[in-house]
Amino acid sequence: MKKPDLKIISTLLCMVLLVLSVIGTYNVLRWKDTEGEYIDSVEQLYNTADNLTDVVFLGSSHVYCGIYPAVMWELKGIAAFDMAVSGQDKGGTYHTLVELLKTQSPKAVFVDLYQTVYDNGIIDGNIYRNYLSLRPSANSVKQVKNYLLKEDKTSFYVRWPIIHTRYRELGPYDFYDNEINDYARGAYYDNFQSHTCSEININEVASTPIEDKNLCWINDIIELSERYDFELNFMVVPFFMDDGTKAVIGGVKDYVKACGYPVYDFNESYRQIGINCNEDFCDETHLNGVGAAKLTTYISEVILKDYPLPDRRGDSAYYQWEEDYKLYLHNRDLICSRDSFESIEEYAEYVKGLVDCSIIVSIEGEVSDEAYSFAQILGIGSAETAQGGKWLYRNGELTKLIGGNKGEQKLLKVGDFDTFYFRNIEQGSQYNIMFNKTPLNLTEPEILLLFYDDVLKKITFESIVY
Amino acid sequence: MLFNSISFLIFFPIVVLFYYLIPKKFRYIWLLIASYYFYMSWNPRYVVLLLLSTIVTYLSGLFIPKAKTISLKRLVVALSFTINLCMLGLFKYFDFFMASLNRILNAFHITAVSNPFSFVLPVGISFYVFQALSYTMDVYRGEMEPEKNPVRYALFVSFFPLLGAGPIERSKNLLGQIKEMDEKSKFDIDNFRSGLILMAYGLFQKMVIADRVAIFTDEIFGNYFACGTVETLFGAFAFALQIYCDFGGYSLIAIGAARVMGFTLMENFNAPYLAGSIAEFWRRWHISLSTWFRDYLYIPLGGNRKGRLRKYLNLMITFLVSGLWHGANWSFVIWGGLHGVYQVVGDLLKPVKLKLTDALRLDREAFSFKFGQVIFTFLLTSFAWIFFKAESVTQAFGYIGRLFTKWNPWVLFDESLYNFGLDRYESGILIAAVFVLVIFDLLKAFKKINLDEFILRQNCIFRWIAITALVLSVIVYGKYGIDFDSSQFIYFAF
Repeated sequence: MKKPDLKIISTLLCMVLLVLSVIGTYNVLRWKDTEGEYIDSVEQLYNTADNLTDVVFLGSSHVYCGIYPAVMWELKGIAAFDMAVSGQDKGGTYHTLVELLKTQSPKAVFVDLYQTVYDNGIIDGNIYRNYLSLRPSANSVKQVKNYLLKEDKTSFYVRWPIIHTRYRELGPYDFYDNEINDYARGAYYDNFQSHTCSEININEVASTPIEDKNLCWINDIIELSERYDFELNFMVVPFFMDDGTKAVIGGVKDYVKACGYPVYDFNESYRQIGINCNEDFCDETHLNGVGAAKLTTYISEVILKDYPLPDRRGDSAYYQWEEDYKLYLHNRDLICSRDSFESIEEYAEYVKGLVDCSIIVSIEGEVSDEAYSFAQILGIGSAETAQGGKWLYRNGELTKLIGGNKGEQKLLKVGDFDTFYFRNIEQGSQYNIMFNKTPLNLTEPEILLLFYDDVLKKITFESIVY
Repeated sequence: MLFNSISFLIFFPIVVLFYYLIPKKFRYIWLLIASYYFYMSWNPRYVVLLLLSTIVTYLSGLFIPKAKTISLKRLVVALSFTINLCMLGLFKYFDFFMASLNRILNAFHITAVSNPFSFVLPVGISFYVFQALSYTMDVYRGEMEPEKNPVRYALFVSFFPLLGAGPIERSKNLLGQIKEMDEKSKFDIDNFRSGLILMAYGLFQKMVIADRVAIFTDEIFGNYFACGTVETLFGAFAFALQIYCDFGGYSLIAIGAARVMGFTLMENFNAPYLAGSIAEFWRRWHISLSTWFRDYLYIPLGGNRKGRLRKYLNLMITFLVSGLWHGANWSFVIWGGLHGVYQVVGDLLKPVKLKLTDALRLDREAFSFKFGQVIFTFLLTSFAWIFFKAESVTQAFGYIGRLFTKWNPWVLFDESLYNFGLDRYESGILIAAVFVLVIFDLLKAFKKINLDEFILRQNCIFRWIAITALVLSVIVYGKYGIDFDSSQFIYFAF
C-alpha cells in the first residue's frame, strides 16, 4: 500500500477515534440532574421497554410530588409513569410527551395546567432540566426552536457550550448509571415531612380569557392525542394558588372544557380527596407522601371509572413497576417510621429492625446511662461502650470497626462509590468520621448514629442518643 | 464570525469540502466567495471598504509598470497609500483624533468641537490595508509582477483565514501561491493533517490559556487600586501570557486553516518570550507586522544606513507608528515608544554591557547568562504590556504606581491570588496548559520543530492520543458558551 494511502487511513482512523472520544466525553458531561441525585424520569423512560405504559402524568413538581405511580400499582396494578419534572414548562410537557410517544402507547395522559401560568422556568437550572434532558433529536431541536425564549438558542441546540464546564461537578454517576433510573417511574418518594400551610383557595374567581400561547399549546396537545389515539385529560394538582393564578388557569379550563376534554381540578375537590392542609403538604405548594398517596388513590378511582385498564401485577414485563413500588415502600417505611419514640428501648428495637440500611454507631467519651442501655440492646457491652469505638449495624449483625485507642483507623466502603473513614485522632475530633472526605463526627461525647440507606445510597439521617 | 465559534465550525468544513470537490480552475473563485461571505458575516456594509482597498491597490499594480517616469510611479504609489491610509485613518483614528483635539482645546479653555461622525471600526481593516499596500510597494520595487486577474488579486487581499487578524502576508508569497492554484492545489494529506493540528493547537492557546488567564488579568487590572506589588506583577505577567496566546493562537488557526487548503503562510510568532533582547523579541513577535514595518517604513526612512542618530530616530518613528497601528489610544503609542526606547537604550548600552561582562568575567555563552537575558527581556516586555492592557494612560500609570506601593509577598502563600477569578482548580488547568505551551515553545526554539511536525513524526498510537487529548482539552476546558453552574439547579425552587 502506498504511503499516502496509509496516511489517509491513519487520518481516518484518528478521526474515528476522535469522534468516539467526543461522544464518550459528551456522555460524561451531558446534563444530568445533579441536584436531584442523578435520578431522572427521562432516563427512566429510555430504560423502559416499548409499549408498557398505560397512564402518563405530565407537569411540574406539583405532579411528581403529588402523584405516585407506586400507589397506583399497589392499589390496582396500573402501569403509570410520572414524567413531571421541576419547573416543567409548556415546551417540556409537549416535547416530553412526544418523546414518550415514540416508544409508549398510553391509554390515558393527564396534563397539569400549572404550566399555563409561566413560560420558561425562572431558574436556569429548571430551564436546563427542560431543554437538555431529551436525547438530541429532531424533537429536542423543535422544543428549543418553538418554546425557548432565551436568545442563545444555538447553545441549546449544540449543548456543548452549556455542558462543557460540568467538569467542575462530575461525580460517580456521570460515569456510571444510577441503578434507580433502571426502574423508577418518575415520582419523588423521599418526601414525607409535613408543613402546615394555608387552606387551599377555593374562592370563585373570574377567569381571564386564554392567552394565545396557552391556546396553541393546548391545541398542540389535543392534536397529539388525536394522532396517537390516547385519552387526554387535564388536571390541577392541589396547591395554594393566588387569585391571579386561579384566573389564568380558569381561562384555560374553560377553553379545554369547550373543546370537550375533561379537567380534573383537584384543588376544588381537595376535601373530598381527604387532603389535610396541616399534614399533607411538605411546603406551601407541594404535597408530601401522605398527601400524594391520598391524591393518587383518588385519581386511580377516576381512571378506572373511565378507562378499563388491566391489572399488570404478576406480568414479568412490568418488573420495573414492581421495583419502583418496593422503592416507595422502602422510603415510606424508612421515613414514616421515624416518628418520636417513647423510650430508648423502643428506639433501639427500631434501629435493630431496619433492613437495607447500614447504621454506623459511634461512641466517644463518657456517655449517659440511657446511652449505655441503648448500646447494650444493640449488642455492645458496657466495657466496650466505656472504651468507645465505631460499629457497623446491618441487617441484624453488629461488626466492630475500630476501638477507642488512638491510632486505630478503618476504611468502610458502602453503596457503589461511598466510603466511610474512621479513626481516633483525638476524642471529639470532627475528623474521626469522614464520609467521602467530609468530616461528620460530633464534637460532644455522645452516641452518634449515621443511617446509610443501601437502596438510596446516601446518608438519609443521623441521630444522637444521650 | 470568529474562529472559535460554532458558525466557523460549520463554515470551514463546507468551504474545504467544496474547495477540493470543484475543478481546480474554479477554486480561487470559490475561495473568494467564501472570503467575502466570511467578512460580511461581521458587518456586510464594510465590505465596501475591503472592495475599495482591493480596487485601488489592484489598479496601482496595473498602472505602476505602465508609468513612464519614476515620478509618475511614485505618484501612483502615493495615491494608493493615501487612499488606503485615509480610509484606515478615518475609520480607526478619527474618533481618537477628535478626542485628543478636544483635550487640547479643553486645556486652553476652548469649547470642544463636536464629533460629526461615529465610526465603528471595521474588522481587520488594519490587516488587509497593510497587506494590500505591500503589493503596491512590491510592484513599485519590481519585486512582484502585477496581477492582471482581478479575482485572484481580490482573493489575495480578502483571503478569509487572514482577514480577521493576519498574519499580514506578502504578495510574493500568497499571491504567488494563488497564481499557481490551477496546477498545484491538489489534496495533500500531510498539509491537511498538519493544518488541522495547528488549528487545534491555536484553539488550545486561545480558548484554554488566553481566555482563561483573561479572567485573572481583568480582575487585577479592574481592581489594581486594591492590589499590591505582587498582584500587579502577576497581573502584568498574566497579560503577557494572555496576549501571546490570544494573538499567537489566532495566527496558528489562520495558518492551519490555510494549510488545510494547501497554502503556506508566513510564521507569525516564534517563541517570543525566549528572546534574549528586545531586538530579538521583535524578530519573534508578530513577525508579519514587524517585517512589514521594517520593509515599508524603517528601511525607506533610511534604516541604519544614515548614521546612528538617524537610525535611532527611524527606530522611534517606526515603533511609535507601530504602537498607533495597534490601537487608537495614547497608551498604545506609549507602548510602541517604550519598545523604541528599549532598543535605542539597548544599542547605546551595548558597549557598556560588553565591557562590564568582560570585567566581571561573565561567560556570555553560559546558560545562566542567556537565561538571565531572557528573564530581563520578559520583564521589559511585561512592563510595556501594562500600557497595552490599560484602558488609558492614566490607568497605566496608576497600575505602575501600585507596582511600587505595597510589597506584599505573603499573597503568594495565603492563597489570596485565588480570589482573582481563578480558583485552585482553574489555576491548575491553566498551569498544566502553560506547561504544554512552554514545552512546545522550547522545542520550537531549540530543536526548530513545530508542534504539528513533532506530533506527525511520532508513531500512530502516540499521534492519535496526542491529537485526541488536544481536541478534548479544547472542547472541555476551553472558555466558551455559558458557564454551567450546578448551584443554579435549585431542585426545590419550583
